[in-house]
Amino acid sequence: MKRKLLLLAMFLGLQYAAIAQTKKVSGKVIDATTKQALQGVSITIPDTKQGTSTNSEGLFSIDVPAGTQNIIVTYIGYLEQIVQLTGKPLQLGLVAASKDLTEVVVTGYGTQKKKDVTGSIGTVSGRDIAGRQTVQISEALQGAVAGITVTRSSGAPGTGASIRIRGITTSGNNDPLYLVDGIPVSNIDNVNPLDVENISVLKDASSAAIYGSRGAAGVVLITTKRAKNGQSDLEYNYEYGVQKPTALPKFVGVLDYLNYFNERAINDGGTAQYTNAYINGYLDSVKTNPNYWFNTDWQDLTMQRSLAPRQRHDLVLTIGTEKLKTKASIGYQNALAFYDNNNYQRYQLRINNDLRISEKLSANLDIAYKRTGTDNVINAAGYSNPIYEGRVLPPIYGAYYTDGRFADGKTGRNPMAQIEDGGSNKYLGNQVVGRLALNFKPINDLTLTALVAPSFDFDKTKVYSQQIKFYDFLQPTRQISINRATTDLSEGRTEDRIINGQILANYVKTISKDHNLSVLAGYEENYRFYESLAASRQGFPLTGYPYLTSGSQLLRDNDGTAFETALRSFFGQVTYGYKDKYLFQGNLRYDKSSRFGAAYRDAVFPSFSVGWVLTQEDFMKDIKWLSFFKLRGSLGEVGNERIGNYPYQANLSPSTALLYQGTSIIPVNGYAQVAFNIPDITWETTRTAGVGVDMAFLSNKLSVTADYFNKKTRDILLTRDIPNYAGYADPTDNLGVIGAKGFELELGWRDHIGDFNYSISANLSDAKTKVLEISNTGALGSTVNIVGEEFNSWFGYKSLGIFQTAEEVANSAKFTNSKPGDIKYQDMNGNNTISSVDDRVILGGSLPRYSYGGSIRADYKGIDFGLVFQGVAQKLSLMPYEQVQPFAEDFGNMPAALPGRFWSTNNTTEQNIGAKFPRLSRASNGNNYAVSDFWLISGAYFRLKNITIGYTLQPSFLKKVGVKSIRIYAAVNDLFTIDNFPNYIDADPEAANFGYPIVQTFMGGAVIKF
Amino acid sequence: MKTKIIHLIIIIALTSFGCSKLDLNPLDGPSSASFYSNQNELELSVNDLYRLDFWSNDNDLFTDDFWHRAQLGNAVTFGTMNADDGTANTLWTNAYRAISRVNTFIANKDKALANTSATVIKVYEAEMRLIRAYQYSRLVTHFGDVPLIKEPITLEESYKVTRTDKEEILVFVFEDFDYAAANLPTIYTGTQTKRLTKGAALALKARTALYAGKWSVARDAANAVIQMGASVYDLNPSYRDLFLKAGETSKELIISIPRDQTQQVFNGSAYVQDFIPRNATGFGAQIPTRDIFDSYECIDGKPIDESPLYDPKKPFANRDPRLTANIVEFSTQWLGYSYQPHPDSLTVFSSKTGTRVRNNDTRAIAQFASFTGFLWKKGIDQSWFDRLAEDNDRIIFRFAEILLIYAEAKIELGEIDESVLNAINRVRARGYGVAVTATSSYPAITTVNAAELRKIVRRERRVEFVLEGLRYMDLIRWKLAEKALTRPVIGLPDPAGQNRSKWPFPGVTPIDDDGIPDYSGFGNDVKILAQRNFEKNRQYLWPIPNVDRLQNPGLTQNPNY
Repeated sequence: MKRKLLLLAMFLGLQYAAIAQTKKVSGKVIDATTKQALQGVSITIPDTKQGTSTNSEGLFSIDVPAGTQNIIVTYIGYLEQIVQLTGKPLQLGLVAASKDLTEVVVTGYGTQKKKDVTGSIGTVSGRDIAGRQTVQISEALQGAVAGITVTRSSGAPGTGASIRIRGITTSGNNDPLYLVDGIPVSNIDNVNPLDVENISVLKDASSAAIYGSRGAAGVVLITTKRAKNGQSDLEYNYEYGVQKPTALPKFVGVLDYLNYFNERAINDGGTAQYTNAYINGYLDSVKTNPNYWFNTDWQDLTMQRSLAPRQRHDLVLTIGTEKLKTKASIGYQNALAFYDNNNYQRYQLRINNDLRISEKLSANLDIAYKRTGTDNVINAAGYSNPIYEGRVLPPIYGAYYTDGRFADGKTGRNPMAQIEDGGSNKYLGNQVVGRLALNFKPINDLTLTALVAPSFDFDKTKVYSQQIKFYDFLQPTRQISINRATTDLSEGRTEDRIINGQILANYVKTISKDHNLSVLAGYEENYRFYESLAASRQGFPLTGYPYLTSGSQLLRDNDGTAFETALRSFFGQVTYGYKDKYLFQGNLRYDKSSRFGAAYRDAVFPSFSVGWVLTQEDFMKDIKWLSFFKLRGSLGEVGNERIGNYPYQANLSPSTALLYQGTSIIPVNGYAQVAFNIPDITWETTRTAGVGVDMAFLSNKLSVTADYFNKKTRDILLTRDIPNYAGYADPTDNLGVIGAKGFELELGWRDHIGDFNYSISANLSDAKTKVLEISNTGALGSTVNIVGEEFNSWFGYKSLGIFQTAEEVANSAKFTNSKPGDIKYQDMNGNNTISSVDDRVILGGSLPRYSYGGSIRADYKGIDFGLVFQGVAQKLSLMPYEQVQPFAEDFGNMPAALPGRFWSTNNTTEQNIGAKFPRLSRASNGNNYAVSDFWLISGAYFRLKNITIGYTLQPSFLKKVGVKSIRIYAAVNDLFTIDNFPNYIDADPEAANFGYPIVQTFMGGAVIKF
Repeated sequence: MKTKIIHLIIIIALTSFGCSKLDLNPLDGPSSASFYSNQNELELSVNDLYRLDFWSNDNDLFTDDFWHRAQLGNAVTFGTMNADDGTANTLWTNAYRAISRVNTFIANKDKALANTSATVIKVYEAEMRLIRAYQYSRLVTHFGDVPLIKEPITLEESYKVTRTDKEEILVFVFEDFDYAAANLPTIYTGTQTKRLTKGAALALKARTALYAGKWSVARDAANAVIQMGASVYDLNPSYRDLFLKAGETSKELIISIPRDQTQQVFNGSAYVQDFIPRNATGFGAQIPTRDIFDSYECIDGKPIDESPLYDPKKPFANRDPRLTANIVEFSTQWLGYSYQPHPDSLTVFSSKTGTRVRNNDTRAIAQFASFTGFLWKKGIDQSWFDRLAEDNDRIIFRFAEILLIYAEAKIELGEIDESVLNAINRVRARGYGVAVTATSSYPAITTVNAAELRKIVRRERRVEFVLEGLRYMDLIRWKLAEKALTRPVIGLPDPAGQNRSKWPFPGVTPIDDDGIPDYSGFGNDVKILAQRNFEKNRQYLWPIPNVDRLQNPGLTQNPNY
């Protein structure tokens, strides 16, 4: 009915305009920065309700009354322009508003204008995410927001990164809560980076409290792109990239290996393994008898290709009409590894529909499907991946005979054979998520939303381990070794079902202009059911038939488990602003979780925050250079319920024992309570207090956001170490208190010089954790949590260099078997011996501190440029053991860093005094390579994360075939790193020991718009 | 219209959620504290303690019989054992887990009285108390004084626990053994599952007493088993077969924990390959030492340094047949290949291929072959190679040990009589595969000299029970570890250094009164493979695990840890 009235009014207005004198105004609106046409820009005539909007090419045309001087041009996210009419067609370049002011920020269960935000929320635009050219979103967040520390440990195809918000909140799972369009998801990397409209990171308790018992580790809200009215686009993206390792360890040659192996054997009380004649003749032997003597560069072999390719196709369809708006995207990504039989593929489909059913009722119907698959090289019994094998295996073992057949490596351990014939480890994950939301506006200002979102995960794993037989060179039928006893297959299926339902009521009202009030009330339920099934057979008589039916009837096994959890919550939020000057927000969430005993399952999480916009005060209005100044303060509590599914119950675990019945063995079932149970386990609660300031200067060109926070988590569930003689495995209990303090600083600068537009942003943050209370310190591993120290502090010996003489050994505190050349440690308890019990101390924190990042973006007429950097300013890391520790597994390779730098009886005294490494020994390995400050170095680094150069062209000849624009670009990720490793160690500060390398990616791509 | 829409929202809300419960319990296993309520639940809780986790003799790699080529040694033989040692902690933890489960069972068993006969409960209790006594016996032999926990304790109580004198624990242990012996059946027949027996209780009591030097208790318990007669326990006719599949239901076995590959209780290829020859796709890494090889007598009953029958160039000739039953003889077919570590034997004959093949078992060809020169044969057969898996039952106690405990206890008591000689000779005769009465077919013991008999029974235990996990405690209780475990592990010289004319051994090894050989006189004709070190000031007892002392500072530590 209202619409009809509106149409009538417009009709009448037009009639009036037609009768009166009018003039036609036309023009084109583009983005001043990107030169892209802007669609849907509102053009209004001052003091009238008349207006129009631009079409998909940015063009508009409107009849205005003759006397009209100006038109008003407005567009979300851009500065409003009042344009004087000249009589000529207008060419309007809209300047994006300084994003701090007008930007709408996605918050828990709603949105808020950035200027009104009183909590601490970091945002990243979809453009910045996509601009990072990463396969996974998690990696794209590295260095993007102050207060988020993103850490990678591998560059293997498909791997993501770990995300920590404001340091450590709990000793358990510190992953933030991820929500996609309001629906909790387990993994941020299931979303296509190109589908992201923006990401909000709720850092403090006041913004996360609305998520109650799930918000303690912070909340990451991902909003996916939706179609806008009047849009009709088809976009195709293609990208191809190649990856290479950022660093690779190096190892000594074969003769050095043999000599040093002897030295180590003698050091350990044995005799030389290889005679001089053997060593001197080794290379000749390899020449004359290459099938029994080998000189293999295993790392070179296992890194089969120096460049690992990855590629991506994306097709995005956008149609927006008044009643139905659809954004559909299909994406495909794949990546290969440095060796065969290891790859990652992902298919993603997302359809976001907005349906307008009536004036009062609208709906969102979103469907997302994701399918990821990884293929991996199988690990032969007990052995690790090809990267590991390539670094451990010394050159004396052979991969191939001269006739091309596989040699048996180290007695059946041959990673090349394993890659080719070892079978495979396949994972396939299917996820379907649906989201149906009905939005009903019974009266103005009130929106009721009912939302139901089921998500289903169906995962398959298939581990097929093939037996490989190795044969003698001269007697090709004689089997000399095998890689594993049998050919085995094990398959797994899991189903994970999560049903999320929400009912929300949102009331927004401006009362007598000055009072902005919004009230949100909601109810949410989350139910999860998980079920797994596994089956295996061993002893496949034939290889190449990876299905259970082909396996032995005798050796079969199966398994199945299940669990369910449920969470029920009520929550509310009140936001109030007076004259855009004084801002207040309060949140309250009430949660009930099935994970706790009935008496301990309820919890209430309150928070509130206030803001004061000083620039709205009269006394500040005259300060020209200060565009915006807001002080914020917040206090709130959030919880963590991820502590196992039934932690309070006394579970009895099944077991199987074997007994004879007559002469046959039969299995009998047993049951026992393995872990002690503590029935009153309850939530972990994190309280955060924070203050912050948002400022903008020089007409919003410069923006500054700074935050300081102090948070404390109490009742942290920790393993309660109970004496082993009590007879139970250690239970978990609410034991710990961890505090974290830190700051975040974000700076932004945005300006243009003629057609040259640029922006610079930088951020720096720190979170220092401190263990405040812990009843039981737990087993003293390489890192410990001790009251008063940082969380996960390094724990080990203080070194005093290397023992130089037997006399020094005799006169010093030492391990019972210490010898000259071993590391000398400080005797902490003064009992004149060194032992792991009393002589280890805190050596420093192991967590990264002072994370920083930043970006530069610039464009000039169709050329765009982007640069992103990231780093960690302080971190204490262990030297990569793979590069400093010789003879891994007793027989393994010798790192090239060692020769000339380790203590040796063959050295001069001076050489030994300058030695960087202890003597070659396996007997003293545990002593010398125990965690000590001898091996700790600064793991700080600076990394150039991404450089992208693109060029957008809109050639007219392509318009005929419907092409609107083409952008081509080239980019590099992880181009270079500055770190603190000594020059003889070629390692990446993020890589794990013996792990898949961190990679550098060179890529190029094209985006075609129709 | 409005009401319809509101209805729609309510319907969606109610049907899609609003019905999920919060009282959720584990879906795949029981969780209630009301266990032990019937016979089935009692039996399930007893069954759990029949698992291998709770039954084991000691690791022979801790002794002078056994050596691992790649590991070179361990915390015991390197003398580096400390309070963080994993082996000590595992024994400690598993023993107390079993003890706590027994205590919980005993405290709760009467819940089942309503529906279970008291006799049935008594038998279960007897099994449980036997298992508890066995755990305490393992604890006191390794750690000395330990906390004595007789019933379920609360967490608060557990922090106040202190160590109880070992003698007091032994009193408790013997009570449990006696209760078990009095209430357990002597034998299980037909379709009954073979659970713990009276004989098992007596046997473990005898061993515990022997280790504690309580000779008369040991003697009586052992004698009670012997007196059960051959219908219950008897020596298996074949020594070698006893340790193979064929021997797994032998009457010699008093406690043996079944293992079975099809039940997923087995060792896979990595373990098996360490035992089998390189020619048979193995690694030959877990190997006998020269010390154990030299411990076997010649067939005249004399040690090699006394017997004229011993020839270091033909060291396998004229030896106690248990030597070649346990250790692979050179140039015999073993798992399809002739085993010959000689540096010039570059090829060997294979009965499997019918041809001569490249010999991977000599170090002249394979760098990591034949360090001591020996390979184990005991318990190993073709099926290990064929399956690359082994699932031999784990023998905890067999009748031969009863006989030698009886003999040793009597000798120490000074009660040397015919029954002592008979007990030793029964074991020896079986080793030779003859009747004990056929004294001309084996070197029967005739001496009644206590010192000589002590020497003989100690040597007998070593060669009879090699690889069965008994040697370590023998070295500890005889206080021999400080000698046996401070000498280096020796092996064959490298091929280049091997004096062919001294193959395989350069001379007769001198062996002292404790049966410990001395290789220091052979110079470069033997190769030192690894050093051993045993700290006699502390290592006779294991350290109380540090993790528990951190919890409970009232728990004292053994000396010098």
